[in-house]
Amino acid sequence: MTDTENLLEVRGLKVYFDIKGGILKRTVGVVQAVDGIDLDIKHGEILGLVGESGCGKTTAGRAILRLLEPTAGVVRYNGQNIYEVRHAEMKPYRARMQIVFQDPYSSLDPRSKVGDIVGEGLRVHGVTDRNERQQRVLEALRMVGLQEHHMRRFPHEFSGGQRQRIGIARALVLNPKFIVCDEPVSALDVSIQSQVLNLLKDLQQSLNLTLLFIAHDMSVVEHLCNRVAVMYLGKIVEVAEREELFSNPQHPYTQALMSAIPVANPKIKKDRIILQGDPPSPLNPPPGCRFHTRCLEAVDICSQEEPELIDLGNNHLCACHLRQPDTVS
Amino acid sequence: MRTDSASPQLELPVADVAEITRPPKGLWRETLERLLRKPSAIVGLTMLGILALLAIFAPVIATHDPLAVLLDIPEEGAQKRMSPCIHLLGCPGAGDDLVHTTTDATIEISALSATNSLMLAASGNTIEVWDTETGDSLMTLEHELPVTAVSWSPNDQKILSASGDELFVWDVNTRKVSRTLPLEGGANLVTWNADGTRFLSADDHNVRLWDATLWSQVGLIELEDERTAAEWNANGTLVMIASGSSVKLWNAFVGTEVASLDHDAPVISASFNRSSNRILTVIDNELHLWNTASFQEEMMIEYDGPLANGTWNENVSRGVGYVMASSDGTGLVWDDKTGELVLELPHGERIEALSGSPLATRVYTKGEYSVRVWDMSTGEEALSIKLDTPIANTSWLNTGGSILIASDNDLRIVKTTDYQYLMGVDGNVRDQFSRVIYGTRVSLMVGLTTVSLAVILGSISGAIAGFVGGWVDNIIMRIMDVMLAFPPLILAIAVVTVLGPGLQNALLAISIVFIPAYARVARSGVLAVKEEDYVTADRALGVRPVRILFRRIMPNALAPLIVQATLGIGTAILDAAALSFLGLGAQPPTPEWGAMLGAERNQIFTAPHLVFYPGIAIMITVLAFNLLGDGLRDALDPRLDR
Amino acid sequence: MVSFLARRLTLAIPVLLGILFVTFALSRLLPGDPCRSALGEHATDEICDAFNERYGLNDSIPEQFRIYINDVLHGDLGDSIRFGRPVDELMVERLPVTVELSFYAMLFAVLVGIPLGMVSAYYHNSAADVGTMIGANIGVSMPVFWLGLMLSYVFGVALKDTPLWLPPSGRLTAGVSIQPFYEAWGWNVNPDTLTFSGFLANINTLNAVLVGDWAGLRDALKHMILPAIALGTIPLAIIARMTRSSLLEVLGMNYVRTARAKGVRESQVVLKHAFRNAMLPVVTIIGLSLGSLLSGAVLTETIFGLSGVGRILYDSITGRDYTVVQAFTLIIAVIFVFINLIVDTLYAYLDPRIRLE
Repeated sequence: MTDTENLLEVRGLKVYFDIKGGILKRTVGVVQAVDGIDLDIKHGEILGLVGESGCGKTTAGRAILRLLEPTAGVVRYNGQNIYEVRHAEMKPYRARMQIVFQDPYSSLDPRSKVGDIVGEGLRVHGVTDRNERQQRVLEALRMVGLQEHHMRRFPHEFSGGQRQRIGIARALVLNPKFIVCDEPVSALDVSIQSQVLNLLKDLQQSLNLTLLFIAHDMSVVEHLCNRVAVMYLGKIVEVAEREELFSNPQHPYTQALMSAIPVANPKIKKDRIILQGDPPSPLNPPPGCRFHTRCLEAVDICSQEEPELIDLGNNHLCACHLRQPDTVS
Repeated sequence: MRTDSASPQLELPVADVAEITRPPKGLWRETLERLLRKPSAIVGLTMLGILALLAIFAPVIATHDPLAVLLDIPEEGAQKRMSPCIHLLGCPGAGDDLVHTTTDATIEISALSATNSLMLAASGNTIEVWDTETGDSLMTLEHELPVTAVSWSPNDQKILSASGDELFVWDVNTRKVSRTLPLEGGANLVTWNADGTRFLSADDHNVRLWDATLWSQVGLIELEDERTAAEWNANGTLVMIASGSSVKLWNAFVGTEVASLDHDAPVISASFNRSSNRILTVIDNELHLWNTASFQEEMMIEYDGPLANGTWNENVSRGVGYVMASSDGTGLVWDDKTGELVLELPHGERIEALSGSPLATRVYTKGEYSVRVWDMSTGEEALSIKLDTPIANTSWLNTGGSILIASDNDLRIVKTTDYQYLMGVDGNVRDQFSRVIYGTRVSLMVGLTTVSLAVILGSISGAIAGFVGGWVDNIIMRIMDVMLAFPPLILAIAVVTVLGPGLQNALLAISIVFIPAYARVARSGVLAVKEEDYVTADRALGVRPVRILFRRIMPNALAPLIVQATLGIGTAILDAAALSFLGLGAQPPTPEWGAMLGAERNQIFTAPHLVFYPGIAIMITVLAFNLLGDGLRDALDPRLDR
Repeated sequence: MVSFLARRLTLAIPVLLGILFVTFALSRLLPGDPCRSALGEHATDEICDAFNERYGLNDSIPEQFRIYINDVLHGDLGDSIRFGRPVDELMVERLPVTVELSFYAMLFAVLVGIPLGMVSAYYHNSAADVGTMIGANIGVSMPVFWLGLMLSYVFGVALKDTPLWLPPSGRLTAGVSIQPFYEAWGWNVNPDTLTFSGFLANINTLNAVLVGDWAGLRDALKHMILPAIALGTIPLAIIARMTRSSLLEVLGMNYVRTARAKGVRESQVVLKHAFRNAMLPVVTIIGLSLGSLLSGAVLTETIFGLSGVGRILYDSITGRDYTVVQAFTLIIAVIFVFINLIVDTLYAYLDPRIRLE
């Protein structure tokens, strides 16, 4: 792995939230939403980030875009640590890095027309000429399959899928290099999901985009991503190429996730791994490996020592005491 | 049917971009449509529309200048009327009776009390007293012998009557005789002085002076010739008595002669002017005007016919003054400064009396069977009243719009003008209706400006508190908490007192008091909207925080603020009215409803309509805003829809 | 519950400090010269110097503030400049009037407002409901001072000579007096000094009950009716509206349907299941209205000739009586804060969910 290969490098990213309480609003607890993750995102790839809800993947996505200030860590975009850039000078990075949200209903200002929603980014980034702005908004809308007359409409006049297209157009209009897609289809009807996924894939290819695709649905990830990172309770537990991960999942948590993917053939019998209990609270994560409280294979060391994310070979990284390079099955 | 192959490939439709889930309507339009389905909102909007029209077209709708003191004749009877007088619905016009009562015997004497709230008539042995407004008979005072003279005390509390050889002092409250004083020879005239401390009684040759605190006679003036006039001066220190060819002034305390104004012929009539600095006397065909400081004659006016009934007709505040007399069937009016003959009033029948209205804008002339009212500025006849029975007595009511006429068994108050003062006339003789109409302007302005100011200041501070958070939030909201710890009106009173009374300062004070309410609403709205994804999207695009706050967050946090503001307008109007009521807001003569209420509050027992109408106006305006606010709240928050 | 109370009390401290500051600032900002307004236009400079010295008005503003805080914390509210009496004496004299008035106003509002709201909600959309709500809307739109004046006209003048006549002003008919209960009970209380007994004795109706003076009680109550109605009408309308909407919401809840389905008697459903839960927002609104009553009290007391807190506050603000303004705004604000505290606590008591953090 060389630096030039990676568009984005995340190192030791931590995002903690203070819980205030008591009489004097003292900090009574810390939510360790993202607790030290390392991630490389290569030029032109689609990296999937999967995990249960509440595992910190959305927080990680937003911290990577500096929509949240991290507690610690580094995010390098083309080698530049964006957390060191002064707020006033963030603008150029904003144009390069964009986001598509999960909920197409809350992500569009109900009081702005579509044209203004999509054109806002252009306005901010110095496209002062109205005609030019309109032209580029139109281009972006066409790219996502919308028409010129849609510019003058309000968001509530559109269906969920159409709204999500508007959200994508808003992200695209500044010609970004990198887009965080925060579960962009999970709020949509299943029939619409594939359309939007296909659209994203097409756009990624034609515009040579790099995507961080956050999802909790393994089948969506399998359909779309080049590489997949699995997150559990604020930590990355496994990263691998798609084929590698799906054919050869290593981490017990990943294996449990895989076994939950429904197969569209009732004859195939599967050994489903049913995890017991709920994920522990990020307020008070368990010591050692965070998964040991629910892990079927857990041994003593798991509750004492935190496993490192190590390369098992074949660019397959896994954080488990029981999966060392020599033990790979 | 089951197959072993993978599930059949679903034919997914191509993105249907023309699909539209809801008809293309703007958010505002939709809200408006929802609003218009609320009955309360429709009523509120309609009421506001009417109020706005009243405010805009106030100069057209108002019948008078709201600030002008009326020189026209105020309509008597409207003073205490609660329901507006609408002409088409049978509002009395000129010549109509406002009050009509009858007695058992022929009325010899009639008199209005000093405040005009009561009137009496003496017929035979009895005196009957009525309420002037309603015509209700209040009491009947029985004597053993015929009543020969009656007089009201200046405070309406006592009636003095002469009957046989006795004087009776009646207490109006107990309806009983409180004193009986022996009076040798009886009296055909009794009169109180201006402050009610003395009175006089007179027969043709004797005038007695009485002390009304000790209830004893303090002086007796015996006259050689028959008395033709006896009158108190304005402050009750002098008595003027005319008999024979001289008019003499007497000290009222000790009964000694002060001066004598001598004439060449018998004096037919003599009278003080209103401020008692001049005396008008009539002999033959001459009028004489005397100065009561120097006791010298100032002017003599001659006419080519015999004169009678000399009288003054003046209004000091308007600066006009006339002297009047009658010559057989003609009423005559001269300017009292130049002596120039101004008007000749052709009454026709021999004139028995003539009198100017309190504002000196009109004159009536009275014959045996008729009364005619004349306009002073034109000399035209305004009204003619003819009766079948002889007229015993007439007099103007204080407000000058109507005349009390006693004739035979009938006592009536006749309206002399067509003027309508829908809601009466206030204590400063201004048209209440016009003032209420103009008040709409003030109140709408007050409501809108105070709330706008409060909303702007409150929403900016609240929005900044919510958006920035941290210590900024803490400081701003603690300040708001402190302000909220004071009852609003008390804080407003305090602020106005610091700034000084006046409408503008009252507006400012109310705005300041309302800031915390809007700050809270704005803050919670901003806190809610701040977490929306579309705000995050803006940040991802690098939009400046200020623009995010004011262009993105605020418009979306506005709905509850609008509801709060609409409901707040009502409260602001109420509070502004309260401040004005207490004398801290709008200052006279501004036609502001609260100030009008405050100015007339002491009239509540005598003229409740002066309090009633401005209050109703406040209530209607506040109600309109409240109804609209309720409707808006329901329309903007469909969850509360029921 | 204790920690809840402790937290609320701690939160009130900065507000109380702010109130102290504001009352001080307000009184110093009042325009005009307190000396000349107390002693008349013709007071000489020497007299005024002595006057200012006596009332500490020559010290620097921060020093005055420090002394003020110190005095207040020691319970010393100072002397009235105009009345020349300690402010706490005035308070013992005036506060009971307002407390009594507010109590009866609120009693009227609650006793009439809640049943009206309940009937309105239960017979939703009936003529009674619509009528009540129109009435409530009109009620909140009426100026207190106008209502007071109209009431005193209607009951004091128009209905004179009928059994419905009520006295339009004052606290007791001239000539009627009620013996202070501490005298009747033979307590040794000096009526000229600040005592709680004095405070209680100034609440006429309470005092009349304590000494068993039923004629006096009747007279005092008669004088209280019109002011209480005038002051209580706006809270009445607010309470009726709130009861209605809150009960409507609760009556639509599934647990009420369940209770009905179980065959619970209708009166039990409404009174036991629905009413208790519907009372939560009503309690809040009653608490908030108690605060606004103090605003209305200024106007009501002015109209009905009652010399209570509102009246003295208005008189002293316009008469530049610094110490009285300070002390009374302070006490009102403090009462206000504590009423809110009580409402919060009551709310927490009624709704166990609130006690959870």
